[in-house]
Amino acid sequence: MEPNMIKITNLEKFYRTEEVETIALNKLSMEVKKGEFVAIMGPSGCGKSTLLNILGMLDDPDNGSYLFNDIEVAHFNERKRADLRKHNIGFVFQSFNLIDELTVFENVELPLIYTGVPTAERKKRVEAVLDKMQIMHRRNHYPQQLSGGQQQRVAISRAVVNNPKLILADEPTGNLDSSNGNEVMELLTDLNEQGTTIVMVTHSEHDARYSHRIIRLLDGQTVLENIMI
Amino acid sequence: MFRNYLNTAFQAIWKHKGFSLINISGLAIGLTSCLLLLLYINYHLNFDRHFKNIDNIYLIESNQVGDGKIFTFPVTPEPMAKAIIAQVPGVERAIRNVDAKALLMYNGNTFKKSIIYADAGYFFMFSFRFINGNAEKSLLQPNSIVITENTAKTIFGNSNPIGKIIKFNKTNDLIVSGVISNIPLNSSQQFDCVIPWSFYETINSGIKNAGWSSNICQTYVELKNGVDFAKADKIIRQMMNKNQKYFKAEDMLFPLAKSHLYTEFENGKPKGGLIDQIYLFIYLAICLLLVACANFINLSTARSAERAKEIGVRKVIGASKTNLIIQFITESFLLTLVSLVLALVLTWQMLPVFNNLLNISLIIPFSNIYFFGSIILGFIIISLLTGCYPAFYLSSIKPVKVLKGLFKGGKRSMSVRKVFVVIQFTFAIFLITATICIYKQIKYVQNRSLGFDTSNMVEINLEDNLVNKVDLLTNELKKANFITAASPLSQSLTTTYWNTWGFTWPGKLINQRTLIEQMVIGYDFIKTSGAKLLAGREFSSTYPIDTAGKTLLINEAAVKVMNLKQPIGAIIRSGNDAFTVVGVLNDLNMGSPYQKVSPTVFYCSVVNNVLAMRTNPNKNIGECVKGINTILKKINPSYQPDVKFVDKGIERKYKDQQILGKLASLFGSLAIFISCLGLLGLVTYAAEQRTKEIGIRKVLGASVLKLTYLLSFDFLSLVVLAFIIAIPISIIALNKWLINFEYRIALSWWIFIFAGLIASAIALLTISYKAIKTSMINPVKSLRSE
Repeated sequence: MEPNMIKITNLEKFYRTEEVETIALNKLSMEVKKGEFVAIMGPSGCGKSTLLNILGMLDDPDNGSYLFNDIEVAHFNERKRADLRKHNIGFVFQSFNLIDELTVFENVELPLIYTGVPTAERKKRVEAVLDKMQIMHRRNHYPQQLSGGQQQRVAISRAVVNNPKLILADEPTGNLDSSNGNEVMELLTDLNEQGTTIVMVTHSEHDARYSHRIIRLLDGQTVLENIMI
Repeated sequence: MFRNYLNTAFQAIWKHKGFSLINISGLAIGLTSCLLLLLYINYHLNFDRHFKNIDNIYLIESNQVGDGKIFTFPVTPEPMAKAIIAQVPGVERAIRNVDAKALLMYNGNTFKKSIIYADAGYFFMFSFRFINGNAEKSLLQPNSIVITENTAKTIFGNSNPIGKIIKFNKTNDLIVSGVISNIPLNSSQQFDCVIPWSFYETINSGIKNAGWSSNICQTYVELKNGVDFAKADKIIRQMMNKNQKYFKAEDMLFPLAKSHLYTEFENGKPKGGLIDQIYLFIYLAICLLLVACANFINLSTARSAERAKEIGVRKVIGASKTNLIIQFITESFLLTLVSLVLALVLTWQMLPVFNNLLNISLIIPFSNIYFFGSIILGFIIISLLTGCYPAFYLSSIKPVKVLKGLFKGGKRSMSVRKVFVVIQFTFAIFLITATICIYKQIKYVQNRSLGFDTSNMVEINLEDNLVNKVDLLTNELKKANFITAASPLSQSLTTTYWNTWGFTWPGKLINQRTLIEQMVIGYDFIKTSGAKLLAGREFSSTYPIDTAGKTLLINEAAVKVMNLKQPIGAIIRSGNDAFTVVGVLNDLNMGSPYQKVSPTVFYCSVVNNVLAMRTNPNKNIGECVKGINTILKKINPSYQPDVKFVDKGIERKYKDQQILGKLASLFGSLAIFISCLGLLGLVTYAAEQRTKEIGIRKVLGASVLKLTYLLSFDFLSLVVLAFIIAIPISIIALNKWLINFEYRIALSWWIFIFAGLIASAIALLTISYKAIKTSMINPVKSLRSE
């Protein structure tokens, strides 16, 4: 039995405007084991992205507990969260979120710069991951010069270059055609098979089938869990 | 890591060329203005700083009571220097000094040069660099003369001047004992030659016995290091009243380092002078720099929505707040560096124009280590000033908001930007009102009658023997029809330099002390000058009493101050001499055009220094001057003719205020330009952010005019607010400036309205271009782009 990488208990998150308070997560509890591939599904506004942001320590919950590798991180300050995030978590977004001003190589290199990896080592690791993602020939191109599929490969390269323990993917195939989408899912599956834990938010039943387990959310609560066989 | 910061900064600057161009040019123009002003300020603050002992050198200023106030002049009696050496402990040296003009002859050539008669210690006190000779011996012999490098070149060409003999005013021989390097322009000691005081005493026998009651020279004192200034000053303050009984005076030590900046005194204490202008320019430089920095900050934060994605992504993949702050500050450093280099090039290019405008000769001190130090320090401060707020603001953007598409640019930063725009335009509008006010004041004073007619009027100096040939010259010029009238004068009609407390008149109170200006004029003065005779008659050769020098003309101001009911025939005395008033002239403004005319008396004599002439109005003025030159050369061949136009001399009196006017208009325009660049940037980003809103409004039926109004209103209202704030600031500041002039304009409301309209029109032009362009976008496009 693998230990938990993520354990959240009674997690709550509210969004307040001047007049309305919306509950995004309503006493949500869940666990993700090390090495697991979990898909989170649900209709728009059910709290999927909010959950992913909290899991990625980009946002903090209003109530509840969040244990990451048995460390309580729910009320970490921004500096501690950033520190933990950069060493442990990689992100993949629907809209790729590459920095337009930087080349493919520089985009992938960026997380290594922020973790203080020396130049020579950075070059080696970026080249290795670009090679693995079959995007090496585009290393000096800018994001706008690439197709959607290629951009997502770069984004995945950037997410994995630091060898994170966890990858959080927010509808990673949402902007891709089915062929490119399948390739991306294959890449994520490969990464998972090599030991990386993956939590993926998706609307696609097809993509969700690549995971080990599907957690279905509605109104900020878990309504169903499907174990994939 | 740093390479990455630099690389990212380069990319960000390059990718947004338009924005970078606006940002860099705004800052570069601001920095150029600031550099030009600082060079000007530095020029004046370093006046006389090339003298090694400058901090120990003092000029004696004399405080004299009269007309119910204290007048302060840099004049002293001849025995003072020696008395100071004898009685004041801690004095290194004290020297006397008088400046004059002299005619020098060498090898048959004549040169008119500015000279200084000074005690032998002069070159010990003022550390000029000797090219030939030395400070110790050069002024020891009474017949020696020290000349400047330029004078040496003019008189001797390339041959060695040391030991050569120069004829002084055709009478005495002087031996060149030293050559000093040329005098920098920012030196209070300006001369072509220095001649020993002992020589001055031999050619002016009265000097030695002038005593304590005649203020005939300037005295400079050098104190030893560490000497108690207050103690020395106290002894000197008592000297005048101890040594003479004719008038009350208190002479004081005034630091030479300050004497260029403080020329106005009130109650014996320095009140102002050039220092006021220096402070004004320091404020102006700071304000212009802040306006440019505010632009930079505004444009950087306005782009927050655009850069939010990049910031969010960087944070997600591990960038800490510090990483981002360093990155944005690196960008600011890079932009500032480019702006600074551009500003240095611009300054270098503009310096000749600026020098010409202000009639000075500033240079960029590239070889000065302090200059580079200041530039580097300024660079760091400006980079931090412009970089810090955007860096802290941008780095605090929450990645979650960006990734959710909720980030639209903070309300707080928008308010800050609006405040900056208001401050920028307030400053610009103030400078416009100041420009209008200064020019209006100059025009007002220029339009006031001087009391004499400056057109068609020229003057020449009566050099040497010409004094005795005035009649011959005048007759020949009249005969040739070049002039219609001429009158010899003691000084040019554009100057007042000769005054006295010494007059008494019927009814003068016992303790009354009134400073009276003096001038000597010849016959035909009224026809020559265009002055008006209000009573009596002018001087004439037909009256023996006039030729005997026993009569006076006085002006209206003198009649008033002397309270003469019947001025004609009144007896006015000066010492043992009695004069009869034979005529009253109108007030002739020969001094400051901004101040009231002083009471003046006019003596009669034909032996004078200057000949004023009215040229023939029926002839071209150029032709008349040419004719005067030809006849002058014939009558007085030793001298190069030098005809001066009186109206040019008057024009020079407006120089200081004209400089102020030129600077206010120049930097006012630049401030408006920089502010508009910033406004253009802000409107561009606002328009981009509101593209969708404009599209929807257009679909719903809004016209281009209404949409333009919608986009422009926000920004134009800021300019209007700036206008409202600028009015009281302008009123207070300009009234404070105007109070310096006895003759001054009243601030009219139209000045402010006009300034407000100019600023609004320029702002509207800037805004409307972008607003109209955005309003005309096809809504299908703008909505699809969303």
